[in-house]
Amino acid sequence: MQAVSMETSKRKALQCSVAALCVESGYLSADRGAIETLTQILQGYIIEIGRTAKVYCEMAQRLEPTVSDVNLALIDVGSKYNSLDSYSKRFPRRHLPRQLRNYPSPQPKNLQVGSKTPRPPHVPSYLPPLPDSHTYIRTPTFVGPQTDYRTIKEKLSIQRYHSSKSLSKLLAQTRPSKPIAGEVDTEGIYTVILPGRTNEPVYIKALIPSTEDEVDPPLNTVHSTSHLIDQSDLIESNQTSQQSNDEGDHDDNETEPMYTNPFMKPPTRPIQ
Amino acid sequence: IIFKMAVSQELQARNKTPVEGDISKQDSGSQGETPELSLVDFCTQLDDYTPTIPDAVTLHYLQQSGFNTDDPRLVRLISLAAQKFISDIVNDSLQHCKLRGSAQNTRKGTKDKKLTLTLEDLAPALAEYGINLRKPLYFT
Repeated sequence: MQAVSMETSKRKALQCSVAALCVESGYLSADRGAIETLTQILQGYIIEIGRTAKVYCEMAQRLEPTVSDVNLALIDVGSKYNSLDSYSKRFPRRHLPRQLRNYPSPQPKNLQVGSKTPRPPHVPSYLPPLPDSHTYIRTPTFVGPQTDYRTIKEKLSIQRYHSSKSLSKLLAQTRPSKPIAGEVDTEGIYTVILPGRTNEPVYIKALIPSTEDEVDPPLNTVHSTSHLIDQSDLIESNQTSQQSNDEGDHDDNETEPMYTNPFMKPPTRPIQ
Repeated sequence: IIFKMAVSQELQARNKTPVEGDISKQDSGSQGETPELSLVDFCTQLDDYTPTIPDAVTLHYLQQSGFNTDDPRLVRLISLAAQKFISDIVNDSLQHCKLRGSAQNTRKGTKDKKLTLTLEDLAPALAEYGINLRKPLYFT
């Protein structure tokens, strides 16, 4: 009989079985030497039964052992096989709990990003797959400037509309204004920006051309913004805008740009 | 630990069993079933019985000795027989332990609850089965 190794997992399972049998009999603890002895005995016993049964089977010119071969083998080693039946029905029966196996967690596959280019037909299949397309193709990720005339025009008009709207809102909130009672939920949205008191009529400045219109408008006047403002809004004339300028500026000079009040800065224009 | 497993001594000790087996084989009509049949019946009962020794372990050791089978019932039969053998030994050593314990604790009246399987109890139990246990006195 060839030598059997001492510390394999099977042997440890046998040791566990022996310990379970001892516990079943009523022992609470055991010597390590005693357990080792019983394990060795058990191992030898199983091997002996197996060998004897195999010998009987081969003697009967068969390949696979049957119950009768095992029967004869059990007789040979001297076990009382008659009492096996009653032994099996003994109480309490114990069996080792099945050990939970730690299946290796499935390795996360490498993230497939690019598309799989199919192999050309002349390339054999055992070669590794072709690399992802993103590894050798460079695509710019930014969107280039739109040079379409129509889109530019649309963007410009939208920006102009937004700026005028926000400016009129700002004026409504920073100037004395009177709200027009609208519907219940929209109350306070529609306001009339009250014009300041002027001697001359409000519209006179617009009718009389002035030298100021030809020159580049000064930076810090709301005067320049009034060109953008829609006719549907009730906005006052330039005189009131001058008054607001006086209110807003710390300097009384219109022409000098003063950026103390960031709200009074002229709007920045988009692409012209 | 050095021990000898004397299988031949076992055979001599249990020489009766093969004779019994032959006799009962011949009387098929007797009250007791033939042991071969009973084992066959027993095998069919083994489908739902799990012996203490796992099937894989027993199968491994059987294959190591050349016993190759696909039927799990045979494997369980053998593991059951082996397990019964060991439990008989353990029970005998338990008797020895209790005898020793009762000899010491007769004053108290209660038996020692904590029983430990020691080699001192195991040696005489194994000797009845023909296995002689010899322990070295010192460890070199």
